[in-house]
Amino acid sequence: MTTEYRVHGATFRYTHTIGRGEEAGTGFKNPVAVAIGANDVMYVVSRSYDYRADAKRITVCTVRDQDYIGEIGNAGRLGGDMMDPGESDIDGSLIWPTAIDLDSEENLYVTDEWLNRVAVFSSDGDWLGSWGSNGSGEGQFDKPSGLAIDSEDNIFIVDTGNNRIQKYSKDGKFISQWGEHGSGEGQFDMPWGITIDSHGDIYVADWRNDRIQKFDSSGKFISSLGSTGDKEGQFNRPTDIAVDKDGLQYVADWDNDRVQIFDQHDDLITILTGDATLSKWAETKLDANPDMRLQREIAQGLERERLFRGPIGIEVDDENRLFVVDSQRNRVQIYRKIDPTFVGLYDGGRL
Amino acid sequence: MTSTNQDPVLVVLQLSGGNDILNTVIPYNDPLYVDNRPNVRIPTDQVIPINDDLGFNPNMAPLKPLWDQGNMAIVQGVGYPNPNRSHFRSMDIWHTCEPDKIAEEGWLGRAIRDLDPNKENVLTGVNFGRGLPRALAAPGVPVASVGSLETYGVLTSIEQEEKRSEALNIFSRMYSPTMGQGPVFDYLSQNGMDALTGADILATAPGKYSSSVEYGASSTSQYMRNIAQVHCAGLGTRILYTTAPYNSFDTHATQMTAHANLITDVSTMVSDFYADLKEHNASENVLLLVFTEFGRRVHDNGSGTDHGSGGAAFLFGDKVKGGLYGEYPSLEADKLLDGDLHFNNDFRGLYATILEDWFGLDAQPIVNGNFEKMDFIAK
Amino acid sequence: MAEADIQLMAHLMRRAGFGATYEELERRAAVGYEETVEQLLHPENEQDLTMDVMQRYMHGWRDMNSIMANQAYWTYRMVNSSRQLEEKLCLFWHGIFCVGDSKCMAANQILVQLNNFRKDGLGNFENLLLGLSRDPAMLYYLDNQLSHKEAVNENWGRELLELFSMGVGMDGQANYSEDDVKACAEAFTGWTIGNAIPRYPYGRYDNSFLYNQYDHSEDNKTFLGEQGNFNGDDVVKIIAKQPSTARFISRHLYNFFVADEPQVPAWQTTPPRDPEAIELLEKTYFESGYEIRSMLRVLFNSDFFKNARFAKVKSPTEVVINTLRLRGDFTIPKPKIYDPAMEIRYMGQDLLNPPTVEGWHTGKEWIDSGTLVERVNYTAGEMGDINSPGIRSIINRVAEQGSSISAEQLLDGCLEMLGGYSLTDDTRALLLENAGKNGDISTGSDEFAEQVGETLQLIVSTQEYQFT
Repeated sequence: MTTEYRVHGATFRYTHTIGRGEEAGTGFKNPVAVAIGANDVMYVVSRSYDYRADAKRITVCTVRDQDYIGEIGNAGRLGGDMMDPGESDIDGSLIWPTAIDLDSEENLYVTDEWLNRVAVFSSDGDWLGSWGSNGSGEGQFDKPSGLAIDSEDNIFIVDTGNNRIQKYSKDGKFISQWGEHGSGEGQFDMPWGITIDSHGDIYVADWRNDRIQKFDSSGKFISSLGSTGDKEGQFNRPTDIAVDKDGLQYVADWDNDRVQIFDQHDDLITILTGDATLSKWAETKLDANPDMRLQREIAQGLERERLFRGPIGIEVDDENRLFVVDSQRNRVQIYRKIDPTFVGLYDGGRL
Repeated sequence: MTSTNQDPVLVVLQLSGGNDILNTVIPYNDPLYVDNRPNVRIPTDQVIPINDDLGFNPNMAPLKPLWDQGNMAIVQGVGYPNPNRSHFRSMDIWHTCEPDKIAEEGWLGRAIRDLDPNKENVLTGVNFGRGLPRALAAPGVPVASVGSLETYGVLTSIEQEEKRSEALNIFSRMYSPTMGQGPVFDYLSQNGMDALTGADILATAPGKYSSSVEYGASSTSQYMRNIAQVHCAGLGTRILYTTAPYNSFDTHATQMTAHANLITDVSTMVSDFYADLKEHNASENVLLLVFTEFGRRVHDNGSGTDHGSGGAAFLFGDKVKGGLYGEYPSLEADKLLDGDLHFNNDFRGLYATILEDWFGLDAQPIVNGNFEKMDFIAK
Repeated sequence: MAEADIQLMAHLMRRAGFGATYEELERRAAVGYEETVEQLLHPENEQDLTMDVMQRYMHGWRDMNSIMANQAYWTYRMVNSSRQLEEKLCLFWHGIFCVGDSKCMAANQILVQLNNFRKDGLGNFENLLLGLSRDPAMLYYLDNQLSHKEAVNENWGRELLELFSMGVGMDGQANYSEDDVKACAEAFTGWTIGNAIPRYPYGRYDNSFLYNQYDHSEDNKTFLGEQGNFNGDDVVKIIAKQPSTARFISRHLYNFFVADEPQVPAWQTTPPRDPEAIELLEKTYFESGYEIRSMLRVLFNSDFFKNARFAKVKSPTEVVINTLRLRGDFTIPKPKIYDPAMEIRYMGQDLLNPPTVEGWHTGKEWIDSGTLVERVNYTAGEMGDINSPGIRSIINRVAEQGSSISAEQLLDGCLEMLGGYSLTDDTRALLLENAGKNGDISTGSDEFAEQVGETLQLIVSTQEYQFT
């Protein structure tokens, strides 16, 4: 008797992990978001803790070779008081950095939920300025979180506390907005992540409504995906969404510690729970701490190390690579999508 | 010229986080140093040699004159058996002299009790920074913890000056000893009055002080300046303590930049402090101890170093016999302890030397035992 | 509402919780004293705090991998949880069953323990000890993973008897012998923890209790006069039925909830301050089958409790949490959410990091000239902030007494709002003089809020306010 399998969207192959827990340099501390630039460069935002203001930063490194390039926005690492929670809004300061995206010139836009502003850096780390203030008017924010930039450099910002999406030009001019508090269509409850697909449609992780809402570029409601729970297709506080060029949707299902992948018809393809291995930086760390390598050999339950813990930011690039920011584990897990047309090709189709 | 009491005084500067001794006092001719530090190494040509084997980190240049004058001692390989690589536990051990069990009393708290058994001076021990390090803690031993010398005092949270002085006036009358309210009430009164007295006396220190020395801007540099101010004011303070900010020496990553800044900061503040005391002719009775809770791993981790053992401590002062004490721990693989430098000098011997040869106290009950003393204090 | 009822309710809430605003006291007093005691004794009937929003903004709070995250989380819970007695009792057990982060270096593992105190803290004492004997943080803190049948480490076995259940002695007699300590430690050989995943490179994972039967001593043991091949559970059962355990727990409850006793090491020779109260609690311990809830019901409803107002020096945690509850603005995520735990530390109580396994010395030993300054400066700063919602509502309530009020009305109004403090005559005279220094007090004036703020600042600076 033969079993009939149906080719289902795609498969996902884990490739590698980048990161380790570190307050500076080759690692991340409570990373929250990732962006992929040209030349295989990756930008990772570390939220850190508020009593380690120096560890709030954007780490710049490469994806394939895991080479550390440097860090941005690391305000006052030394000389200052490390215990100072740093509530100051001086240039370059990051207090609650939350999301990051790049414009067409690869400038970095970072939302800050505490300072209620969007901080802008060049890819070299130069401070280019910021905009935004606290409030509910145009150009104002109450905890801006998700941020996405479209192909024309328009910037969409999730204004969490005001339960709305605001659209800006790249120099920070307010263009439009939609949304209000609630659980109906086009309403939000503390929304977080946002992304734009290749058609210009906009997806928002409606965090406390446990769903993803899809809008057209003008903000008109199209559809909604998901409900509250831990079953397949349900979410427990989804934080972020990415959509690839084929329209597959990747949802960071934060409090369920998993990533759910849906096709363009909202059908579930698969669920990822994490496959982490030792990153290059992790190996270096263990080389310097030989006793910990020994400790790992006898540790009970080491397989837990593979799992996501609070997957929080998610991104997919043009090469079909999926980046999952694994917040509580200070790393990014990377997968590659294998297209369904690969089935039956080469030796993969041999009996 | 300020006249100061000539009783011996100890100043302690704690480098929290675990200072990387290999990049502080550097075995620059040892090939194993090069092998173990592919990424976190001071190039040989930058090292400031102090002999054929060892040299200072280049950022320690401000300390070189003190070394050359014979006023700086380096205690090598200092630590304790079965090193603990937790910052907090290891610091606890340094503070309480109790590596095997968790103890409450600090060695300097005990020293203060012995120096001032009748509690004649509420300022015998003063800490600069908020919260009391366990080294200074001992039941019944009052030690002021000064977050800011300029604004230290009771009811400083009342911002308006006029209101505050009214409130202080009422506070001092409220806490004046009264009869018949019971022992706990009396105890509170006594402590309230002690706090006021201490604050009033400390408040006089900045006014009595002027100096041509300009300290750095870091909080620790400013605390070192405060220590000079209090010492020069002649308040009878015998033990003054401060701490480099929260675990700043914990250079797990990007150590080359971070550690350079830290070493620059510490070297400059120590050199400034010493110059300041000299300017006030107040250096003779001061011993400065600089220590850290542990050294770091011999092998780097790519961009930093992790928690290790076997560190080094430094002593400065007119009465210090300069030079190296103990042995520099070997970097040879079979001499390492789980990848760490092996200690060969018990820190309690260092303390015992200070307690007995500097303060003239009995060290045994303070450090919980008999440990070999060192010879870094001129008789 | 009768003033006396509210003042009694204020006393109950200060002890069984961390104090309450005047509005809460009125609400609870309307429910009635005994009914409120029942509500406090059944925290499971109250909605627990939802943590999703806090975890969204405080990213370290998901796994509590650092002591500071865990401390801040606890202060947040103590301020905001409607299950006030659950948190107060968690603090009680933390002060007795001490583990310290300076040794464990695993705040997440200490959180597991505190959550067990929350869950089991009001229940059966034997059950609580059985849980504690399997708690990874405790086993590590007291070295039981180093205790082997061929080489027994007595640390856990000794402290279980000395500090966690029986105490060294009572009525001038020793409660157990050195042989009992040995037998106890031997019974717990093989009670260990899993080999942990090292903290590098990806952080800590919770560890688990392991029973290693190959490393457990199967010898016949004599423990407190009983003989058998005892295992740890057997030992705990024997401990739980000892009169000395009833005494020890009763004295601890009395010291924490009623009035300051001498420090624990003195209990072998120093009799209880109120022998009848202790006797009643001991009796309840046995009659209820070792149930803490029953003991506390008797305690809170007794006259010795109701009459023990201001018989204790506030702990640093009580000082800070009470202040934050009165201010009413420690409710939302913010970067400075970590600060109150630091203030508690500066005042001499580093939560999750007690100085030794004996815990913190309490009563007047909380106070020295340094910690007194920290208390006074902190409370005066916080209570003088007339823009905080809680202080605003105090100002409004005091103003309700009339458009023009006397110095007495201002002072007494403030004392009442803080929960019925009374002052010694001398202090009262000083504060009245200050309150009346500008003549009539007009509650409609611009300065009125400042006057209330100033009065509150002076009250919290008094010796009287250091008591609870």
